[in-house]
Amino acid sequence: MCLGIPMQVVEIDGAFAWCEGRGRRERLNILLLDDVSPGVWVYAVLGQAREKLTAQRVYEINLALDGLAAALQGESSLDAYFPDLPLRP
Amino acid sequence: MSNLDTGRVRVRLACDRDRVSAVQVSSERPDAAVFLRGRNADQAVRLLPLLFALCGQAQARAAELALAAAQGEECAARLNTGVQCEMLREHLWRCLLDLPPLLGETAMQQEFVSAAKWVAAEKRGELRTLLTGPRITRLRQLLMQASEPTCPAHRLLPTLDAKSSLAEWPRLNAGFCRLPNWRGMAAETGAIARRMPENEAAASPWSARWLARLDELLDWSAGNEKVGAGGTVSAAPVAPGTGRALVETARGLLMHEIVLDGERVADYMIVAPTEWNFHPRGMLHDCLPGSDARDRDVLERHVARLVVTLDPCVPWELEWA
Repeated sequence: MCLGIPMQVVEIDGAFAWCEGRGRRERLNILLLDDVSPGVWVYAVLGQAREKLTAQRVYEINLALDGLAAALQGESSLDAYFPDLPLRP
Repeated sequence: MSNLDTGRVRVRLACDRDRVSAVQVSSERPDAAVFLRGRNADQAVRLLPLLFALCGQAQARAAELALAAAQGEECAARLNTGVQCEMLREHLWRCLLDLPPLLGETAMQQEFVSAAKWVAAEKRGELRTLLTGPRITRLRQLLMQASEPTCPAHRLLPTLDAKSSLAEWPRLNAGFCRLPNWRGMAAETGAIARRMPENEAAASPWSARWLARLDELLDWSAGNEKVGAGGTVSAAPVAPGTGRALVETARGLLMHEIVLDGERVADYMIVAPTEWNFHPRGMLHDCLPGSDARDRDVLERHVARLVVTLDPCVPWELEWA
């Protein structure tokens, strides 16, 4: 049950890509994805780029992660972190 | 944008002269329940797969089915194609990319890229050709010949569906989510538990687990997968307004239990496979004490091999006492 984070591809390095997101820089395995190029957003879990993300999805996931972080820090007013999410296919 | 600790498994070893004398295993992760309590139930169900993408299909189906069960709708155990596909992809990653280097072979990158596409496109025959071909056959032989330290056999979690789980655990709570137990004891979940008769854990700490993953892939490629295999989902009402869903993921059993207060979430429990498999009294606790500790590098590799075999869904760290 690993939390994933959105990261943006900065530089391709063979089967890997250097990516940045949420203040981190990581070298991710990109074997699962086709046509990865700098600027593309990916979902990073355990050192792997799992799927490509649209800018809208990146926004929603970051909001959810911010909401979880806020809740864990004891913040009680969390409504701002719950946009009207579309159902995932 | 806030920093968020995404959790980890810690393995702490104490050595007494030349041997490992004690092992402490702990699993830490952010508790999603604090975020979900008080939310609209439909929103909560849509949010969970955004956070937990490693098994996003499994999390999404578990959340939806648990909510439906809380509203009175039961779901008899059945295979779900999306969850199955996700489970197979995880097994492929482990078996084609992680396993070969453990056996002194090169990772099968090209094969992995093709195989992941075959699974998504349901091209079972192509996968079967790969799985019965020379490279995988060699991996199987190496696994069967591998010399391993013997390990006390320990308990495997029996295959349960949501309804039968109610007899084992009438209600879930936060303590159980952190330290799940079956009849008071640690138990292992995953492909090996799904494939072996109850209580027949192999004494081999790792090759049996890899063979079980390969066999689960092979079953699917031959169209022989059965309900109870990876990809199985089920759900049952626990009480009015409370529902539970069970999903068999690559790493093992995932359970969700939702408690509703009207349309809102009063409580939410998630029991993930890593909490079973990295239980403080689990396989690492049983197998590592007594290991040769004269060469730290060798010991580190031994621990890493066992951890990769159990496949945690969060990063892991080794510490020395």
